[in-house]
Amino acid sequence: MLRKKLLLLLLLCAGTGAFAQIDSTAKKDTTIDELKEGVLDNIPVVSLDENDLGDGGSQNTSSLLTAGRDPFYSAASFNFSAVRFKIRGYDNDLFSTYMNGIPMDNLDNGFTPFGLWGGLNDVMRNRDVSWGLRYNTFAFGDIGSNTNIDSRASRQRAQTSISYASSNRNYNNRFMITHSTGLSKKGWAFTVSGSRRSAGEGYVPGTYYDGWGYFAAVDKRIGQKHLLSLTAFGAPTENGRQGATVQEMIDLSGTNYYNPNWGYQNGKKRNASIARSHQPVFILTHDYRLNNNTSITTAVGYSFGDRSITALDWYNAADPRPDYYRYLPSYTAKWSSAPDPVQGQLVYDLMKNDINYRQINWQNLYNVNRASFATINNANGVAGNSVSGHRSRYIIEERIINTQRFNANSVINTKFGDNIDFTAGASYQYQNNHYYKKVDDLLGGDFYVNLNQFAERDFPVDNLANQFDVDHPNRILKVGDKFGYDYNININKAAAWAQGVFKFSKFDFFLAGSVSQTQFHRDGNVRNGLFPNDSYGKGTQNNFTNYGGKGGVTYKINGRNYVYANASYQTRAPYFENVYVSPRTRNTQQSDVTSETIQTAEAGYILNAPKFKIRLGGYYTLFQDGMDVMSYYDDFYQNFVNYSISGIDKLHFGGEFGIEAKVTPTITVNAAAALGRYYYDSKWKGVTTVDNSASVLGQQIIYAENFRVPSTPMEAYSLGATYRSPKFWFISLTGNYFDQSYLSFNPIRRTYKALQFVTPGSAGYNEIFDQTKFDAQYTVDFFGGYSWKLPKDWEVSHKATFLVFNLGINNILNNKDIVTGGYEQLRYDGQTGTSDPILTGKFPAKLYYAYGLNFFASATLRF
Amino acid sequence: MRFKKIKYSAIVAAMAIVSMLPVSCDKQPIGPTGPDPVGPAAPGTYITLTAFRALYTGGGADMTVPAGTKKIRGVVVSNNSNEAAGNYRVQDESGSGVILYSAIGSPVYPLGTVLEIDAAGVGILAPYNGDLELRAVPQAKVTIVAGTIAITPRTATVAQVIANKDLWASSLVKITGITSITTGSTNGTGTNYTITDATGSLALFVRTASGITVNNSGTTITGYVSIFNSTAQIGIRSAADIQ
Repeated sequence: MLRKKLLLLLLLCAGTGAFAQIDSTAKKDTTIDELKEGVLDNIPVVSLDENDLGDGGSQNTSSLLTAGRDPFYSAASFNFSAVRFKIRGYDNDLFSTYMNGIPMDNLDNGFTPFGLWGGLNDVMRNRDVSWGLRYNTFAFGDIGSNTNIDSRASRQRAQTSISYASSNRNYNNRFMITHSTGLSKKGWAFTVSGSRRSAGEGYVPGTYYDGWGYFAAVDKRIGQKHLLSLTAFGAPTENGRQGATVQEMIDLSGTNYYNPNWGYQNGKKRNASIARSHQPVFILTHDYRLNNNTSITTAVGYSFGDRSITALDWYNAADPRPDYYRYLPSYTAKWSSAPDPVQGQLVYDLMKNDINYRQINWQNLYNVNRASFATINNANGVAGNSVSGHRSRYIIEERIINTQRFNANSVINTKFGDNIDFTAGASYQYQNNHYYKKVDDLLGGDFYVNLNQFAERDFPVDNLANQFDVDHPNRILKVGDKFGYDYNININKAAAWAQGVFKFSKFDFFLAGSVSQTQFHRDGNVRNGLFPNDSYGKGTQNNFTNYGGKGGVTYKINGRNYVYANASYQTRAPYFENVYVSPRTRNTQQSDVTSETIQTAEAGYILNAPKFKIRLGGYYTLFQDGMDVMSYYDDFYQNFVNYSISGIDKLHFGGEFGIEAKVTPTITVNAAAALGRYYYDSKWKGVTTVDNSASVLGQQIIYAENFRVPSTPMEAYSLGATYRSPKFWFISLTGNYFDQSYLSFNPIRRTYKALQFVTPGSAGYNEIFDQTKFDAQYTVDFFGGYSWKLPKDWEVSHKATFLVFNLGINNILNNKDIVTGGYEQLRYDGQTGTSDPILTGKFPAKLYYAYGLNFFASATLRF
Repeated sequence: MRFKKIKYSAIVAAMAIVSMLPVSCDKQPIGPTGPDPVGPAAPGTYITLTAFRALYTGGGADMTVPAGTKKIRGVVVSNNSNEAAGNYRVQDESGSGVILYSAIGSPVYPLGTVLEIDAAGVGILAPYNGDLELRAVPQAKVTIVAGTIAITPRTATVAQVIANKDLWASSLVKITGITSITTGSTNGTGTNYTITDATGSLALFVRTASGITVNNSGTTITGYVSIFNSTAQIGIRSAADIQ
C-alpha cells in the first residue's frame, strides 16, 4: 500500500522532470504516437466567427492520428498540424469517423465531433484508418480518410494506467486514469476511464479550460459467435475562447495572441465567449461471427446534450467589443467621415497604454445597465401590465445547440473463396438540432426584453415587426429565459453500400457502390414578427437521393513494391447550414438547392521494405455545385446580411511524398512533402438578403475562379531524425517548412460592383481584388521519451510496472509569426464613384497565429 | 544493383514530375471585364413597361394589377436621392418607366439596380399627383436581378417632353440646347427651377435633402420625366445631371 502511494506521489511529481533516470531493467513501452496524441488533444481552439459553435472545428486533426507506418501520412498528421495543414486541402467533412461500428460525424455539417471524447485518449487508441479512396471493411467512406475507433472493453489492453501531463497550450494540467480488465474466462470485460483537464489561463490571455471526461464499457462474449458491447462516455467541458482580431489591435497590444474576448472585472479576467459542451454517447454493438469467413457487426448509438457559446448582446447601446472598428485609432485618424490624425494619435496612446481600453470594460457595462431605468408597457403580452426596473442594455447570451442523434448501422464481411472479399452495409441516422438562445447574465440589470431592435428601427410604427415571438409579445426576460431565435433542424439519412475486393497474385481490384437518401427541414418554434407567415412551423422538406461509386487496382510488383490507382464519382446532399438563407428568422432557402458532385482519382507507388519505406502519389479532385451561406453584421444596412452563394466548384490536385529510412539500427530519418494546388474553379452566384426583409437586395457574379482555397498551406515539407536507444529512450528532431497559404477572402470584393471604378491591373484594383498570401514559415519540433520498467519489488498484482516519460516541444525556435489562418471581414464599403477612396483597410482581415514555443510533458504509470 | 539504380532513378524522376506539376500549373484569378450580364429571360417571362402602363384603366382610382399579369423587369433610374422616401423609378428597354413606391427604410435599391417585380394580384396602380405609380407590392416580390440594363436617355426638346409626358413619365430624357436655368421659389422641401430651351420651359424641382447644387449655367440636362398635378417636370439624380 505504501509502495503504491509512493508510486502515485512519484507520478504527481514527475511532470517537472526526472527524465534522466535509466534503469537496466527498463523495457520498451513508449511510443511517439502516444505523445503526439497528447499534443493534438491540446491544440488551440480558435473561433472563426461568432456563429461558430466550435464543434468539429475545435479539434480538427484528431482523425489524422494513427497514421500508421505510412511515411507521408505520419508526417502530415502531426508535423504539419501547427499550421492547420489539411490533407489534399480537403475540409473536415471529407474525413469520416466511426466508433464501434457507428458513424460519428454530425449530419448538420459532416464534421467529426472529437470534443465528445476529449481527454479520453487512453481508450480511443485502437483505430483502423484507411486513407484516400482505398477500400475498408466498415464503410463506403469519404474521400479523405475513414477511421474506425474500436473502444470496446474487450479491445483494451488489460492494465491500469495513471498519467499526468503538463502543458502550456489550451490546458495546463491533465490527469487521466484508466483501468481495463481484459476479457475474462467467463467472457466479461470492463473498462473505466476518467480524465481531468484544466487551465486557469491557457496560452492565450483570457482563455481558460475546465474539462472532465468519463468512460465506461462492458463486453460480454456469448458463446464463440457473439460479442455484445456497451460503451458510454462523455466529456463535459467549458473553456474561455480566443477570438481572431485585426492586426491593429495585435500591434497595439504587442502580442500576436491578443484576445478581444476578455476584460477585467473586479481585478479578475472575465471572458465573454465561453464554450460549454456535454453530449453523452451510448453505443451498443453486436458482433456476430457466423463462421470463419463471415461476420456481421450491428450497432446502435444515441447521444444527446448541449453545446453552446456565450456572447455579449446589447439593445440600443454602444458596441461593447473593444476591437469594434470605430474604436480603433485608425478609424479616428483615417477612416471616419472627418479624419483627425491628431485625435487618432491620442486614441492610439490611450489604447496602447491602458489595457482597459483594449479589453472589454465590464464595469462600464454594469454601470450602463444600472442607470437604465425603464417601464415596459403591455409586458408579457398582457394589456395594461407595466413592468419597471433596470432594463439591461447589455447582457451575456448563451447560444445553444441541443442535439439528439440516433444512429444504427450494420455491416457484413464475408469471403467468397480465396479471392473475393465482400462487404455490405446499411445505416440509418437521425439528428435533431434545437437552436435557441437564453439569457446567461443580466450584468446588473433587472430584466431584458424579447424585442428585435433592428426591426424597431426599420418599422417604428409596426407593433408586431419588432417581436421575436409574436405569440408572446413584450416578454420580460430573466436569467435562463429563452429569447431571440428558436428553431429545430431535423435530418434523416438512410444509406446502403456494397463492396467487392478481388485479390490475385499480381493484381488486386475493388469496386464499391453506395446509395443514400437524405431529408431535412427547418421547424420554427416561434412566430417572428418580421416573417409571421414563414418563421413558425415546418418549412420545406428537402429530399436528396445520392449515389457513389469507386474502384481501384493495385499492381504488386513484388512483395515490397506496389503501384495503385483508384477513382471515385459521387454526389452528396448539401448541409442544411448552406441551404437556409437565415434560419434564425425564417424558412427561406436558396433558390437552387442541389447536391454537390465529387470526382476524384489518385495513383501512386509504395515501397515497403524493412529498412526503407517510400510513398509517392498524386491526386486530382473536382468538386462541383457547392453552396455556402455567409452572415455578418453590416453597418450600412444596420442589419445582419446573409450572403447566399451557389455554384461553387473547386479543383484540388497535387503530389504527396514520404520516406522513412532506417540508416542505422538506432537512427531513422523521415522526410515528407506535400505539393498541391487548391483552386476555386468557377464563378459563383451571390445573393444578398438581410434578416429584416424578405427582399433580395442584390444578385451578383463573384469572380472567384482561380482563387486559392484558403487556410491551409498547399506546400509543406518535413525532415526529421529519430534516435532510439537500446536502453528504451528516444529523441526526435524534426524541421518543417510551409508555403502557399492564403487568407479566406470576402466574395463581395470580387464582384463587378466592387471593381467597376478601378482600372484592371492598377494598384487600387489589386488592393481590392487580389487574395492575400501568407509568408512562408518554418517550425522545429523536439520529442523525447523514456520507458522505465520498475524493479520487481514495484510490481502490482504480479504485473510488471512501467513508468513512462514523454516530452514534446513544438516550435522550439519560438517562431511567433506564423499566421495559420484568418478571414477578410465581410463588411466592405465599396466605391460609388471613381473619386471615392478604396477602403479595404477600414475593415481589415482578422487573423490568428500559431503558438510560439509550446510543450507537452507527461508521465504515465502502467501496471 | 542495376535494377535498384533504375528503380530509384524512376522514383526520383516521378517525384520531380509530381512536384513540378502543381507549381507549373499556377493559375491566376481573372476579374470582371464588364457589368454582370442580365440573364436572358425566357420568352414570355416579362411584360414590357409600355404594356404594363397600358394596363391601367382606372380613370384616376386605384386599380389592382390583374392576377396572372406577367412580371416586369426594369432598371432603377431614380431613387430616394432626390425624391420622396420610398420612391423609385424603373425603366426598361421599351423606353417606358413607372414609379415604384416601396416601404420606407429597407430595402435600398441603388441607381442602376435591375429589379424584377411580380405585381400580379397584389400591386396597385394609380396616378399619384397625375404620375402613374405602382405600390403595395410586397418586398418579397421585388427581386434584384444580377446585371445591368443599358438605358440611353431619349434626346428631346422641352416641348416634346411636355407633349409626351403621359407616355414618357418615369423614363430618362436628355435635353440639349438649354438657354437658361433660373432659380424660382423655395419651400420647406426644396427649390423650384425653370429650364428653358428654344421650344419652351419646364419645371425642375430639387429637394433640399438631396444636397444637389444646381449649375445654373448648364446647357444640357439629363433626368427623368415626372408629372406633378398634371404638369410635366424633369427630375435629376445628382448635380452631374446638368452639364
